[in-house]
Amino acid sequence: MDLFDFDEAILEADILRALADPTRRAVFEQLARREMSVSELKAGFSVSQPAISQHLAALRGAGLVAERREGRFAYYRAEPQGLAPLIDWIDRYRAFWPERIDRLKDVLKDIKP
Amino acid sequence: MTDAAAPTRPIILEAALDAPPDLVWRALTEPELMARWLGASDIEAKVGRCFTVRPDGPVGEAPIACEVLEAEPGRMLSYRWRATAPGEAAALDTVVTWVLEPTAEGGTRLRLVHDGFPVVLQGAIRGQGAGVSTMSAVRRRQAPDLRRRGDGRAKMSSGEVIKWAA
Repeated sequence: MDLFDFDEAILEADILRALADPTRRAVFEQLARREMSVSELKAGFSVSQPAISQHLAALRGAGLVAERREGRFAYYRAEPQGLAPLIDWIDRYRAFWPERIDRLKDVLKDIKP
Repeated sequence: MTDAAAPTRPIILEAALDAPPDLVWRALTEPELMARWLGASDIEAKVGRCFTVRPDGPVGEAPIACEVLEAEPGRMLSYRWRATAPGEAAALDTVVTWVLEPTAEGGTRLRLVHDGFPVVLQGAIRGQGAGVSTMSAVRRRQAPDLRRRGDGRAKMSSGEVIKWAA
């Protein structure tokens, strides 16, 4: 099992960083409900439009939000598949630990007096 | 994660071991023994001690950076478990805790709690149909062989239960 792939680890760090900020996480959650423009998004938050744009840029950088342009307007939606590497972590460890506990049992059998 | 308030969820695993707690403790804390089931390590069960673990496996794996948080010989061992990439923030910043309890038969009930997995989509998942189905689809695609049971438990090969908080 390939638990610790470097490229994936870097990607995961990006995702975690992007979602570490509570406002950014809330933006992502809003966009998981439906596609929105920046001004629609802004209505739900007590932060400035440039701040919202900055959060969107960070989320897009981490592959968590996609942009759709329509003339002068831009719309944003969440890309839940961007979270897959994180889901992966817990799934990998769910497979990892039982296998290691089985090995631990073998070791104990060996060293038992 | 940098945000301490970010929600997390644990993996909890319980196993009945046919060896007394002091022997299990040795396997959990002696580098030579640990190398045989978890990976090469310079572990020392002293609070504050930093060590690494390199689970064996395919080339390209990164060492896990650990730090002992609590150590009660024969009873409980807890350490940070961080997977890092060079020059990056911790990709996974979690805590592994082992609890050992003697059984009447002279064995050990071992409990592993691996906590700190981020629950990033909690708000989006809660009552949001689209979010849920999309996430399930992702999960299926990513882990096709994950045998998940409806009650949030999965059987271990040896008959124990591995469970996780929903």
